[in-house]
Amino acid sequence: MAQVKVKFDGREISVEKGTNLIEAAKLAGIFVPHFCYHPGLPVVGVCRICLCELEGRPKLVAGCATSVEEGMHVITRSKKVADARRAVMEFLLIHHPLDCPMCDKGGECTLQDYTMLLGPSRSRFQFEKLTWPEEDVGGKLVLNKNRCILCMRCVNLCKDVAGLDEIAVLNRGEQTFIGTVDGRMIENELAGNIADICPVGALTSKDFRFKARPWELTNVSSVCPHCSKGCNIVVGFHARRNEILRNTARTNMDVNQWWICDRGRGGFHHVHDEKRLTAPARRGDKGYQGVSWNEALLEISASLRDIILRHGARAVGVLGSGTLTNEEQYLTRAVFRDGLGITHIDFPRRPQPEVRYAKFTIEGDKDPNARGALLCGVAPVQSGLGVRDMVRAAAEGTIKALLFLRGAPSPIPRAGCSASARF
Amino acid sequence: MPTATATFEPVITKTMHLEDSHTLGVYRKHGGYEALASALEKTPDEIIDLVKRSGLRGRGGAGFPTGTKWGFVPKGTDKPKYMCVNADESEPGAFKDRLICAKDPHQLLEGTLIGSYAIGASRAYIYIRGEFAHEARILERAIQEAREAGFVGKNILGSPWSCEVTMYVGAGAYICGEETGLIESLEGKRGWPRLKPPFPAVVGLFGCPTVVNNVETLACVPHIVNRGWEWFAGIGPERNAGPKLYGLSGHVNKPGVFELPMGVSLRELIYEYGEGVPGDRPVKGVIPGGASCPVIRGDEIDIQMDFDTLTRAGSLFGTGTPIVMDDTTCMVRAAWITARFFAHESCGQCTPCREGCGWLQRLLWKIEEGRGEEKDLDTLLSVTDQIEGNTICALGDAAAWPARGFAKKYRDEFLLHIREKRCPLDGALA
Ligand SMILES: Cc1cc2nc3c(=O)[nH]c(=O)nc-3n(C[C@H](O)[C@H](O)[C@H](O)COP(=O)(O)O)c2cc1C
Ligand code: SF4
Ligand code: SF4
Ligand code: FES
Repeated sequence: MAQVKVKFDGREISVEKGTNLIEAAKLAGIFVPHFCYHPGLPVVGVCRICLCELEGRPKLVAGCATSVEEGMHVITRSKKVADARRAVMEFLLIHHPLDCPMCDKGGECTLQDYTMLLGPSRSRFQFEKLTWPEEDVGGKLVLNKNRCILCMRCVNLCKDVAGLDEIAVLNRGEQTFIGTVDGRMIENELAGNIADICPVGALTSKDFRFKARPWELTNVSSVCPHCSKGCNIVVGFHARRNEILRNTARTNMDVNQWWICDRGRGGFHHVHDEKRLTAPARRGDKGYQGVSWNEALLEISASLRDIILRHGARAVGVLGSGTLTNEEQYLTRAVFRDGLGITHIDFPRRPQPEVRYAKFTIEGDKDPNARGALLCGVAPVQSGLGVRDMVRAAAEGTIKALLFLRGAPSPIPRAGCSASARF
Repeated sequence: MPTATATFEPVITKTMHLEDSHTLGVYRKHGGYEALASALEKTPDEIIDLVKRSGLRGRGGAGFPTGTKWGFVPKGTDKPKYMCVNADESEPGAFKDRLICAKDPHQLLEGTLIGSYAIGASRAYIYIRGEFAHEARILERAIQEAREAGFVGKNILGSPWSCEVTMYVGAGAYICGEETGLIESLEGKRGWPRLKPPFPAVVGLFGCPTVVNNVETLACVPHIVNRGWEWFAGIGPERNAGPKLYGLSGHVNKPGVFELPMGVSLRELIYEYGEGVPGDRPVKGVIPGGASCPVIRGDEIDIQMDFDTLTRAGSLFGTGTPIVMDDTTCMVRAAWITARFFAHESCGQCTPCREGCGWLQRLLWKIEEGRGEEKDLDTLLSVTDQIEGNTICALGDAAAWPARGFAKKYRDEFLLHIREKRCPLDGALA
């Protein structure tokens, strides 16, 4: 792409033609505030906080909606620009409830940040404010219109990324509001992203609401394990409570861009599920009984050795998992196939229908690393059995021991199978 | 009859007094559709050139040269091109386009067809204000008549050029008169004005090159074709040429639409054509061109009514439709009523207009009610400064200008409200 030379507050840079002023300014190390602009959404130019001055032009221009041109001199630090931005801030706050202390967005709210950055600290508006009741709009979101600044990001996310008009802008003038149509609920599975990109506390996540302040969280970069897409996420971890409180999207242009699906967003609750196995247990006549790791491992290895010695390695089946990392896949193969000579080795697949939105697909392959398992050789060898046959053989008693490396089929086959262990 | 305009012969309204002036029969009897026939013998470029030379400037408010606008439509593109007729006339004070639609719809159609031919459009849309139900019926009927007579449809007058005309009825929003709001509305969306550039001439209706023209603008076109550009350019002051429909309302004895040359004096319009103010009361102020134009004082009415003169005087010509206010008018209340209109009609898209218009309205009401403080006047002016120029479309400006105009021109009266804690005129009006 052709490069053009432009100046930002006197600083000359060379940028790709067609870049807007907000992005170009970033390259010059200059911050242009923006509410409605989002790199992943269509430019609407409605909030007007990004107004910039162009040398030689009387009118300010919207930085999001203006592309750089050769020789342009953009001024972002004039009084005129500061006044206009401060005015936009004052306008945005005239009907705002100023309820930061009880707003879930507090601490990560663009409106709050810009108020500190751009002012003004006092309002000249001395009239009764317009108010709206809080509303459930589906999509695991709560809408508080009092705080909405009508940036249109939510509407455009649904329209452009999900390809659905599930949330719209209604009415006009100062009575303009965001809402669902005829009381219908938002149903698309990308709606959770709205809570990430709503610049204020107008659309917040029911799941995370009132759980913690964002500054209490330790944010850990991670990858979502719920399908083969592998969306990049940020896990919000509350260290003091030792609890994960939310997943949010982490930008990765090659994978998920700015978005994640709601399954991944809510896909951490199992971590704190009461029924989750967190310590070894032995199933006996009285149900599960806790045992120590030592005891468990000794017993498993002893009975494995016993079974292999008496019946051979073909009496043992190993069920790996498409959710394991490459390292774990490698170990599965190295220990069981190469080390113990086990041939019944496979992993279960859990396909579901793919969900295709306009600009985002939730993959149908629910195993994040099936490819890794296959590449590492987690597969039956020398006419070893696959998942289903292994389970049947265990039930019939030809297979004496089954090892599940993650999750077990339900019910766990018992009859005839002398030992089964799952990790 | 007034002297300055005595020699002027009306052309646009010429046959409107006749019975059934809206029918094809009457229209043709007076030379109707002859301009279309002779236009089709010329090339589109020749028509554009003709309109350019005539000096015709858009009658929708902004006064943009029509021929130049037509010239912006790109040639050599495969995309279809569209002509959109702006019949949304919703500016308070304006009622001239309505007259053309009701009394001479074929004149509009003929202009629309010539314009479409000039820009290479095969489809024209007439976007008519929802409240104009009567006019919409007449127009629909006229389109039907014209289609039956071969002026609309395939191979018009035996030429290779075809053009369909479709009417679209709006749903009652002032903002749908803004040309890109109109285009969005035509596309079936919310009438939210678009960011410009790109301009409609390049990316307009359905993403294709589009010209939006006002009804009166297009009604001038057949006459330019018939009588030549020299005739048109010879009427009115330089760079502000042509006949003009002035819609006069407010405190005048004879409100109505008057066809006069551009540049008529406002005093003449009020006193000669409007036959003065009832009870011979003094004129206190005039909104010269529809509600968005800053008010001028009663002692400023010796002014030429044209685009450039009114702009120089700090106001605007707008649609050329003056609203006259006599000395019984409370200017704070007038300002409030204007502000209330714009607050109601703001599309709600951009922050300064959406929030600012409501704020202006509240400030003005507070002052009018006698609760105002002097600082409210400063706030009012600063809010207008912060709306103006900072929005997507000109509605923001259109709201800011009159509010500022009233507050500046009648500062004394505003201060009187604030200091006396009431509207001094309320009693007098009863
Ligand atoms: C808020 C707003 C409302 C407008 N309403 C009308 C209208 O009702 N009719 C009209 O012809 N032009 C209206 N205009 C002007 C149009 O945007 C456009 O300039 C005009 O239709 C162009 O036609 P012209 O060049 O023939 O004047 C409006 C402009 C604004 C900003
Ligand atoms: S709800 Fe949030 S994202 Fe949607 S328009 Fe309002 S502020 Fe913007
Ligand atoms: S200036 Fe007002 S009417 Fe025009 S786009 Fe902005 S909000 Fe809408
Ligand atoms: S960021 Fe440019 S107008 Fe909102």
